[in-house]
Amino acid sequence: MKTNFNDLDNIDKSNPFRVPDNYFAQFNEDIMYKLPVKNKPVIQAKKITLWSKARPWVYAAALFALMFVGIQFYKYSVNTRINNKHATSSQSLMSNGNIDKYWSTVKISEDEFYQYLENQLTEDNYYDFMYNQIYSDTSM
Amino acid sequence: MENNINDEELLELLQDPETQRQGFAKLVSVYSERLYWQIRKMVLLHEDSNDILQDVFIKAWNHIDTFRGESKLSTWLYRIAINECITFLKKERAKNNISLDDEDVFVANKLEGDTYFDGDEAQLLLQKAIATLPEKQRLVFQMKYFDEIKYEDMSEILGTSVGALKASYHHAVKKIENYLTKSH
Repeated sequence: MKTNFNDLDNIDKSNPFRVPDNYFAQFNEDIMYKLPVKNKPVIQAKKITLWSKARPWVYAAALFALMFVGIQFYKYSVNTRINNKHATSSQSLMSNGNIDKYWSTVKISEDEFYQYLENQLTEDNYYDFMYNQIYSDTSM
Repeated sequence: MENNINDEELLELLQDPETQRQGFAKLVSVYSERLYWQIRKMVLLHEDSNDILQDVFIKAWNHIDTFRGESKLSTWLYRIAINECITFLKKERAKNNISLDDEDVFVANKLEGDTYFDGDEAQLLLQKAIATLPEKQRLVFQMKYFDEIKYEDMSEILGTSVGALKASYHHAVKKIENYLTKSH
């Protein structure tokens, strides 16, 4: 029967291609020799250095030092606040004119206080005299 | 079913560096013949098919560690083979300065002198007709006409929708029948 070339279904679908004898068995063997060698990943041994041994102790020491500094700073800041509070309270006493209350805390006698004021006055007169002496001479 | 079972066993061997080579040898024995014929239908000559098949397995070996098992092993291997074939055909066409219009003559010359082609006159004419199709359409036609692969499986391999594959095959058949009619 003549093949009807116009009809695809009438054309022989069997495989028209051939391979050499024993081709696939030989190929399967040959290809394994052609595969590139894969290097196994090298697991590098972790180097144990002096630093790696000392590190946890250094970190612990640093932590304690930080805590110590922190505590000291806290104590300082608390004391400073207390002192400031006292100063503030003194100023307010003066500004409020509670002179009598102030004087009641001072530990000198009245006579000592007036002697002190006289001494201050004497010193001031001395400085005024010296000042006038110096500048009246130079002005001439 | 058997392939699926083989795939699981193969993957286990391939994913372990200690058994990877052994697993790959098994992979080659399972898939080499199937892949060969897929390649041969595309490039026609035995020597070219042999070279491409080697390239496919070497590429698969080099990239086996990146295979995640999201698709079947066969699908993955087929995709590599198809890419290699298309690359080869484009290079060959460029090297010999052949357009698609001249492809049939080029194929006829190839096959008529080939000791490994036993086809009759009709089969030779059919091969010439197929050669005039663009590569991807040629592939669709061969997978459907000769291998009788389901459209769904073809879709997974080629990454094209079933609808597009059906349309492509339908057009391929029309072109081939026209060629056969004109040639005879």
